[in-house]
Amino acid sequence: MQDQKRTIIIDYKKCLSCGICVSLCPHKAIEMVNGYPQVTGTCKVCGLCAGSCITSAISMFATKFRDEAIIEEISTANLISCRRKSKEGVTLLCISRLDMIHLAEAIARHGSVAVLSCENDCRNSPGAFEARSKIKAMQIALSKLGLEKERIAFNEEARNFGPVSSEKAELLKAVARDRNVRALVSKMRTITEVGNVYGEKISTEKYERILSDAIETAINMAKILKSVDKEAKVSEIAEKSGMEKSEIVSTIVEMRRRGLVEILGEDELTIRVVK
Amino acid sequence: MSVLIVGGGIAGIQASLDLADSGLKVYLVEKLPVIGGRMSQLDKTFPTNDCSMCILSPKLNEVARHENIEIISNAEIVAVEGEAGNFRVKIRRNPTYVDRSKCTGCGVCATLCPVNAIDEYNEGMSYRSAIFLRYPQAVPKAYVIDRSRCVGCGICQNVCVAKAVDYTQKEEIIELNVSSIILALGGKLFDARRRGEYGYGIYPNVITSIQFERLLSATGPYEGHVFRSDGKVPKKIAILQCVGSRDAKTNPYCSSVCCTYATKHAIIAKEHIPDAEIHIFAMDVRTFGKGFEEYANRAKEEYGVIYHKARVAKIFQKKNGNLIVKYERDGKSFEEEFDLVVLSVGFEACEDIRKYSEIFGINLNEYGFVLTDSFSPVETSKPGIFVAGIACEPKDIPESVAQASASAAKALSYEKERAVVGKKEFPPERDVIGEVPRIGVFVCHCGINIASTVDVEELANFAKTLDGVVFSDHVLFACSADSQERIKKAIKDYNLNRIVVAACTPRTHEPLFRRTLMEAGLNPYLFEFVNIREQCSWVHRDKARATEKAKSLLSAGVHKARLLEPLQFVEVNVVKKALILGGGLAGMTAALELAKRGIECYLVEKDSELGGNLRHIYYTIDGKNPQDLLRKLVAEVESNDRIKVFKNSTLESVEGFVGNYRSRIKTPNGIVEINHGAIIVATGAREYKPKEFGYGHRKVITQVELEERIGRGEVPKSVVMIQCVGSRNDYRPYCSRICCQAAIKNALKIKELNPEAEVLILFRDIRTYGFLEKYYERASREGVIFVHYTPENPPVVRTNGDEVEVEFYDEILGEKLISKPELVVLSSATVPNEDNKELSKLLKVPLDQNGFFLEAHPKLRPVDFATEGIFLAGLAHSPRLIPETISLALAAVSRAMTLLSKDKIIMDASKAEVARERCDACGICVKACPVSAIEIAEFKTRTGVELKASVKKAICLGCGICSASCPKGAIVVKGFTFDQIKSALDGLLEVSA
Repeated sequence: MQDQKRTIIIDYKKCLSCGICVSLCPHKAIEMVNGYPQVTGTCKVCGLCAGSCITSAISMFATKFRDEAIIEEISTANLISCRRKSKEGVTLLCISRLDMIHLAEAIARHGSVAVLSCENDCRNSPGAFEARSKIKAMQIALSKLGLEKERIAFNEEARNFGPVSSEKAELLKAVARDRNVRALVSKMRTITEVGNVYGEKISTEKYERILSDAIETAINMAKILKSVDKEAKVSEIAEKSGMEKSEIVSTIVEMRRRGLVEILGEDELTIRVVK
Repeated sequence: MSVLIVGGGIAGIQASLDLADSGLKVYLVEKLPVIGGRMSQLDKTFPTNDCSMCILSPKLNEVARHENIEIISNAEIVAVEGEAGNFRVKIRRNPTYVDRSKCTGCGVCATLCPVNAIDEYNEGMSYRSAIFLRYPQAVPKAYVIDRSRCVGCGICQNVCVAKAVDYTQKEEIIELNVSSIILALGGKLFDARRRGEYGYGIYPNVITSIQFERLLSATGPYEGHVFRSDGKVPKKIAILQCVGSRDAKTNPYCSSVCCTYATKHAIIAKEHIPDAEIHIFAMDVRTFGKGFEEYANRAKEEYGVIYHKARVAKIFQKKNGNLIVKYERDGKSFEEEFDLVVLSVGFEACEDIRKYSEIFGINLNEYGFVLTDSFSPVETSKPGIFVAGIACEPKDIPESVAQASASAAKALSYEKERAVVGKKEFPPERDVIGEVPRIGVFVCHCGINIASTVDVEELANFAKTLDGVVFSDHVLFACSADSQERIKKAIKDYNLNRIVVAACTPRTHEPLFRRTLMEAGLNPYLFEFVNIREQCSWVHRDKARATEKAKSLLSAGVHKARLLEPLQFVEVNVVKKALILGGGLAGMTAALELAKRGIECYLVEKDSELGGNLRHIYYTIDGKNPQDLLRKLVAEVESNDRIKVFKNSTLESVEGFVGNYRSRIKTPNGIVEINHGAIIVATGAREYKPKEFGYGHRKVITQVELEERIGRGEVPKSVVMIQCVGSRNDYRPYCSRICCQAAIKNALKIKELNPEAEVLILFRDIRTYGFLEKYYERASREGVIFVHYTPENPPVVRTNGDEVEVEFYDEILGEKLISKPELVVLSSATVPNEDNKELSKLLKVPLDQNGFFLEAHPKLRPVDFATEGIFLAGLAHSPRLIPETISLALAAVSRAMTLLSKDKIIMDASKAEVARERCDACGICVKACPVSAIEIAEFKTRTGVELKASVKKAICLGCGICSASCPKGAIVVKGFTFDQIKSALDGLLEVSA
């Protein structure tokens, strides 16, 4: 852990040098130094880097705005807001700080969550717009789990839904923590609205399809991991998770590539979870 | 000038290596980002079950390292102008967005790329990322970005330590002048969805043969476990042949390789799943290549694979995912249930073939493959453009490799002057004898390959504690260009005289580091390689214990390094002449081609006339005249100043070694002694004189005898032909390959000359492979009757005075029939020459179990012998047709030219050496040496002459068998002496204890 001038804290053990924080920072306050991000400019502690980091390696110096504190606060309200916008609910310095993990936690607690942001008026622009991508992703995840996507919205109506099952809540949390989903979400606005590394824009529909695939994989992986203690056969996983066997098998192939499981099996494909 | 090779599969690779080794500059253009082609996807290869990647990978590395070869990958040909000797070629290289020269292949980018794509290498059965390396051993080993999947997030560029990712790369147009072009475009596999009745793409447990190959592979989706789409291990598997081959609706030709690969799939599947039941459904089992029939027999007898002579009509899926296979046999319908169905898909012409035919201005045949002529099998319709591999006809790996070499031989003829490429000057070597060892150690991270399992920093620090080590460092990639500079700088700054690199395998990387030493003025043998990747990090998980093991290994390396001595490469001169044994089609073709390259040839023929078997062939199946070819070849050979023909002559003795042979030829005018650098064995084979089926009777003759009669104008009115006479039996298990073709050729000729004639062919399997299938189909259409028989129920030939009758069983009618033809024609086996045995002893080259000569490797070295400088061509290798014989002869020429084009050959310095004072001349080493490199020689001493063992360094391979067998320890292999090995063991045990 390193205290970056009492603004943000970067855990270099978790950092993968992906550079997303550098590319997102509205104030150009972060730079890559010797392959790792460092605060070199004037950080305005909006928290966009922390809320977007693909491995959650960035946290805030102020304990109130760390994930643990925010999640704690979420248990009391299903409204997350920029403090300029509302004094109610969970108030953040800026909605840039919003993390998909916060949304998933709120759904888990309350079944729904409203987000209030300054939109065009954001002092850390385009930070407020980045929140849209996070909400979009979690809405896709909700739909995939058979839940109403209106459970998350930029208005207070979202607060009227009832609770969701703890199983689905866990899956939402898994999506929110999935590295690939987080990477795609963090780059979504830039790539669809400004342009990617090749100076091209990708249409929102196409990007959402790619994001949707990543979310589906994340959900399936979480379902499988939930059904396995140490080792399990495909048929056992199918029984516990209710998934189709073919879907389990193709997800396992991807989990193996990511080093999450080992493949075993005499009479049937069996996996062992890698710690 | 130089040669362009289009296609980086095994054919393109072989052609590149041959030409580059013969001193030409080669541009190898590949459509995909990496070379390796179809072979890189294979798990095992038939008929030896060799691991495909294990034999391919060294070739890939050889291409990557060769200073005469430039790989232009991810590229395509846009335009070609000019003519033979001077083509101007325009190539478009598409951006990969990764700088190949910087990428170290560490793979961190791929693990962090957030986008998944279908993995083509695993045939859609797994995923890869948008930045990827097609397969782990790929060359060039550089990741590439799949622009169609990349979202452009920028993560890969940020995480790349080597700074290799470059999003600004643009497509590049490369213009080259080349003297000739070789098309090794490969083929594409049939899309099984076009045979809708099999349900491919709908039923998840119907897969293609290439998918099954990937399932069997350790780098496949399940690491070599075989599972169905629902995770079940299939216990009953059906393999369906001729999917997209021999099929009027799709491709009428035979794909040649599928029957043998299906046999391989069945065998390997049985090894994965011992209790599995495997059925192969084939109309004919076409295992016609060298060793293939024996392979299929093993599948049946040892592995219990069941072959059905049937074609499958339809497949249905059950609710549980199992499949009902409906097939017909002998006019009856059957149904059987299976867990998994594998479709043996055939080859089609490559995807871009139309476009390429226009760009190159070459003609295609009726099936869309590159058109060739059976008397010039590697030439396209345009001079200076040659073809090899599947681009011109479906074929297996050895035939592709042979054709590749053959096309290389042809390409050589357009080279006026040899480009002197890559002759690098090194600084003078520093004399380190007498110096105290000053060892430098470099520990490699190999990205995360080693560093994630072995604590490289600790290992580098540990190295400093070892005696003699004065410098130690750890580097991200020891093989990268900047690391070579670091090593050279350390050698200079610290006055190092021994270098130890702890990294990967000497197999791929030792030459690189040796070169670095040479560039730094050190003898290349003052280098020791410690493998802490394959032998440590890749096989262990526990970091602490893996680090301990790495220490042991490194300690062993450093201990050995202390005793390393400078060694000198062995150089031998090359006599640029060739001895060719056999004056048939293969021998004459080889002699003429070598003579064109300026090589003097001695052509030895045991007969009184040149021509061999070609003298007895009067027409070919495709309507060409072999007698014209014969006359042309004989005239050219006999009038060529560079070819000296010895008729009625045989080889009496041969001495010497690669580049320097001395032979005695027994001629009618006495013994002639000659010097030569290479030998080509082209002694042919002959037709078997049958003992069975009443042969000897006036009306029972062989196919060759029939052809001679027809050649004389005697056309029989009725004929019964019997196939597999003397082949595929207990005495001669192999298939003679050419007889099905010969029978159909003669049958068609009879029908052509007398349409009323009756021709009945009794067969076991009709093996008209490749485009020959057309003639089988034509024969059926023209009324030739084909009746199947089994070896258990063979036809019977009865002779009664001048009459002859054949009794045979008709499976469809279910009864015995009798025919009384004018002639019974036996399709008699092709058998090896009797004198092969003697020749094999003279040349010290092996024969196979059937008495044909045995090549160095059945897949990748089809015309080489294990002994360097001796090559193989024609029927002496195995039974084959005219175009295949010509291919093999040209291939032998190309392989011989890699040697004969050089003035000197440089050999590895690790050779056996005799400590004469300890040698008792007992001769054990002489017998132990597998390559006969040791002899007992006389040495003069002050007191007289004494006998001692002596090593012929040019022959010695440095294997060390002599050293291990010597009772006195008098013979050692330099670089692996007793002291060095003992010291390494001490080092190993010191740490372990």
